[in-house]
Amino acid sequence: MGSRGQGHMSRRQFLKTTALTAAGLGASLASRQTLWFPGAGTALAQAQKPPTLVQGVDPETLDPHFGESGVMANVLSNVFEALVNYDRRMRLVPVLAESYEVLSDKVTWRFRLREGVKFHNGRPFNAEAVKFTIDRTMDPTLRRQGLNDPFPARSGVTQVRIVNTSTVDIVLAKPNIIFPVFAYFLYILEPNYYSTKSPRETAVAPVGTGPWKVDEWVKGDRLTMSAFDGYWRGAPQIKNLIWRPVPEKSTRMNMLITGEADIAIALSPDDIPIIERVSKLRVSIAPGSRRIHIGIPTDQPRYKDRRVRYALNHAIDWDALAKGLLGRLAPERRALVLTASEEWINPRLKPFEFNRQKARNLLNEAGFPANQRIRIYTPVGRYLKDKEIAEAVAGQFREIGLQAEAVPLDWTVYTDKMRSPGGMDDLYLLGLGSRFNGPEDLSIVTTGQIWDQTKWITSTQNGPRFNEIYKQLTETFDPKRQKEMAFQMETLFMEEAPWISLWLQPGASGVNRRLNWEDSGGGDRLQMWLPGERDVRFVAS
Amino acid sequence: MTAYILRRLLQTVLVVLGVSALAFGSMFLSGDPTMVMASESWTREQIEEFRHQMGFDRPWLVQYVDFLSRAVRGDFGDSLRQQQPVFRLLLQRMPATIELALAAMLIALGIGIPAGILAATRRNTLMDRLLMVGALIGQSMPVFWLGLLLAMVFAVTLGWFPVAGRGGWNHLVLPAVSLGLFSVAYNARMTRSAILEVLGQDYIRTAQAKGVPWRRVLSRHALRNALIPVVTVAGLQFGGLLGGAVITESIFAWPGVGRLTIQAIQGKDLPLVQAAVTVLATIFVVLNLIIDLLYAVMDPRVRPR
Amino acid sequence: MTSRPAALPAETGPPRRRRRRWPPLAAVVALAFLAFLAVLAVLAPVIAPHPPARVAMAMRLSPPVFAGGTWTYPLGTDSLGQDLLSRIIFGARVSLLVGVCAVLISGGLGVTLGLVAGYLGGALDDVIMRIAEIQLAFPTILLYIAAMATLGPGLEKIIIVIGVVGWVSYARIERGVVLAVREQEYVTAAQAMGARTGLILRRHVLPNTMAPMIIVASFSLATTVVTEASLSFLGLGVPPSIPSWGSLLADGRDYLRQGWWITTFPGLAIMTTVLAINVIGDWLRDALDPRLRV
Repeated sequence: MGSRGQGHMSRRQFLKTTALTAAGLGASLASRQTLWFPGAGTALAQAQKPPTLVQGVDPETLDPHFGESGVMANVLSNVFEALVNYDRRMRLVPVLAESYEVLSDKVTWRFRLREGVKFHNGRPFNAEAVKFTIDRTMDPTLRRQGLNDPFPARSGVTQVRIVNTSTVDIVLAKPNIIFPVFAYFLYILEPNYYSTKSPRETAVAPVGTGPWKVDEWVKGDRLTMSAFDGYWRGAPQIKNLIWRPVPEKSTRMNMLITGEADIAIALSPDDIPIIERVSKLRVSIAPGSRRIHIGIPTDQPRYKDRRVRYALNHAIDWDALAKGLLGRLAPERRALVLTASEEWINPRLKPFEFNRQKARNLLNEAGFPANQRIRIYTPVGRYLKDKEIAEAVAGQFREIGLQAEAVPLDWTVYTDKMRSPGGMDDLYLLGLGSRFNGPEDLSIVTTGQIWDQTKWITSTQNGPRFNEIYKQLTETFDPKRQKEMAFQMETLFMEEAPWISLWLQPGASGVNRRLNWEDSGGGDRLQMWLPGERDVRFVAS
Repeated sequence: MTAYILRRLLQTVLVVLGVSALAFGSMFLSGDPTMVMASESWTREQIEEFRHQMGFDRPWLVQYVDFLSRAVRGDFGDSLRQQQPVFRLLLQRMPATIELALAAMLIALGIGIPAGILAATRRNTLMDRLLMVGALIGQSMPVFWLGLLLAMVFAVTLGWFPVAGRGGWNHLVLPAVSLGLFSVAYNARMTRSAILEVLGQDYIRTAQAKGVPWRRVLSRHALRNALIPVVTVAGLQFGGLLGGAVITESIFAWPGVGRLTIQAIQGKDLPLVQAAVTVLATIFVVLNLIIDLLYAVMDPRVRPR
Repeated sequence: MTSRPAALPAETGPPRRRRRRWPPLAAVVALAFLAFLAVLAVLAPVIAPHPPARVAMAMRLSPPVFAGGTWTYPLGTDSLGQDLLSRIIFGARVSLLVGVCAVLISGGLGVTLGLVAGYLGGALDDVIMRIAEIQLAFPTILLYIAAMATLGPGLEKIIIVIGVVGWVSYARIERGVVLAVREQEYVTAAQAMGARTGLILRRHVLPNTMAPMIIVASFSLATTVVTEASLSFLGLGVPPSIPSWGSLLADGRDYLRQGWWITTFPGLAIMTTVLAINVIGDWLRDALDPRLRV
């Protein structure tokens, strides 16, 4: 599961976020400008030292086709652009493309490209660049040298045809409505540079179309970026950015407090009060994208009965869990987090209510052996409060008379367990990234996905039907029909209840008040200039 | 003398060979290196191709000789994750590592030895007791705890030094202190006992009996002899500081070799791990050799076997 | 620290007056402290006020009793509301278990190899000593990290790794002592009488080298406790389900501001334990073998 997921937020979540963040971003760009920078932009920018952004490690490489870490995505999302990108409301909007459509053969996606866009080296962006980029992801020689971009395998692209300089056709092996999501992961490279330079060179010096370009990279220490004056949306006001790898979270917090760092992402709920106590800092909260749930392996005899799975769901005191663990970051209410965006959630489905008596009754009816030990496997430090969630859920299970305990595992041990022949043999806590695209979100619980350890497709009554509808869905282009099918699938899923759905993991960042940057999309990408907005600025104090 | 030097050289070559063999062999510790490095999504053909490309399908002796002959030329192959020659990656990090180790060493000697001398010359006074208790505590303090506390107090609360990163001398202070404190304590204890031992020797008593002033006895006779073992150990300490700063580097975000190696170990970047381990160990062995030779030159009496 | 050259703190100095037969007060206190710790560790389930993994979210981050907390949680609670005192008591088990077992393993290995190398000499001696030098050349902490990253976390794994890696200082010192003992009259006499080598080693050589080995063991116990804590701090030590002082410190480092006690007490536990062991080591060295040097 790539950690590149973007967050798509519903209007409700969005309004909540804006209410939480200091100054209510986005409702009206015009009012924001008058509120925050009354014409002081440039002079202010020159007086300030460059913003420093800290994250745990360095990107392993700056060649987007050779790496897949979230750290790399954070850095490169400011250097490169794709045909499409997510805006703050988590809608997929055209960026390097001006528009796109699928042709009547259902497998050809036609992208009309933006004109007048230039790469950092001055060369123009055009259809050739798109073709070159996609062809490069499939280049067998480079693949042998470590190129590991999942784009070809995921998207099923077979060929790229240049229609004219500003139109390109991407042809897939079979119809797939999710394709634009894959296009989001495909940063467009400058053909001349990337065809003449070796991977050794491109790994440290990227050339894209993004608002900033990489100046210098002292590995392990700092990566310096400077504004790209020829950027198609205009040169960014902030002339330099510094990225620094800082392994210790406590050190990153200390750096925020002393002013050595300006932005630190992925705060834990406990960090929030600390940040708020420092007058020059503020917290920026974005709604979540990662679907935190507890999976129930439906192939295990004791979990085969639906009623047992219902009981486990009814046993969850969600409010106590969410408020207790996430504090200010807690989502408003319990939801079916199978799909991340509200528009894709079947409005008729109600989440399980918290009812211990009901849970006990269901267990009795199902004849569940209460003296058996229930384990909840959990990774440690991978998701916000993961171990704590598992411990707390185990405690709530004990309240209905079960013998439950959390089993914290090292991530490597956890994934080994997942890959072992039987897979997970007891409850497990997992967080799945979302692309804010209903069908894509649903695909994660279809057959053959390592991340679905419930094995519900093969072990439950509704599973096969779900799989079948999913296959049809990927070929259905009518948006209304798509929603109906997704809703139907969610109903099937809900009936079987192979998940105890918890929440979409929210993202919080600590930000120095001199910057007007706001976290977006669960903190999964640290982007300084989102589509449809102005660039990040220094704020007069 | 020449025979001794030759023998030490030969020994060093043997040890370096052993070091390289161990570094090379570590690749096979976790089973098939191809499978360790292979991506989960690869097909069987891709895996076999990769095996061939990395040369893992050759007899291991051939692989080792190849590894050695390339290593001698500073070629340890390319990093699997970073698409860079691993030797270059290592060299880029070396200045930071050496800088930190030197600073820590400076503190270890600059504070440790004077403290030891002070304690020895004021033996059994309150000063002696305080210094030695302090040294014991310093030796018992885990470096990660020390580092966190130092950052909290001196960087965040007092604001005297930056929290993290490499830059001017002020960036160096906290990491160097937290890395060097153990050695300060160790050197203080060792200096004290070495001086006390020398002071018990006949020639000191003789000098004193001849009426040589005490201060002169101390500086001319006692210190010179007492410091030989201290300096010997200091050389080894420096070697240890070079490769042992992993935790300090993490806490203070210091861009050294240790963090690079950890990242490589966690990312299963075997060529990088091999290179880092071989280079660090070789530096240690060579330092050791130099110290031994210096030692032999300085003090022929105590020349090792 | 684990990463530094493995060597013994030397505080030999001129021979001391040996009037008293009792150890100095510091050593008595240190011994008592370690004995107390051992009792805590063994009886942890009885003594600890709470199960170490019992979560009480409502009580999270309660301060220690002397800083406004309650007697229910004398040293306060961590971010999960787990009782810190209980976790430290259970953590003592890990620290002592890892320490003692690892010392036994490295002691056994090191003494055997040192004995063989020193007594038999020749090519075997050369080989063993070269291997020791090779291993000494590697930065110890990286060796541990690489081994633990390869093997994965586990209590028995960390014991074996620390145990196996630690043999060198025993072997080198044992060898040195054996070289001296070998020339002693009682050994040459035994040889002249045609005693078998194994018997000579067991009867005459080994017992006479035990004193320095006990000293080495005491100092390496101190190092081991810190090593385990360091590895657990890096997330490479004991599995996350077992509380160890190192992992307690690691968990608490993100709460330095909200709950200073979460790191302070495990830190103090490590420090005082290591301090006590070092004090005992100093005393043992002075008492048993004042000439023993690095």
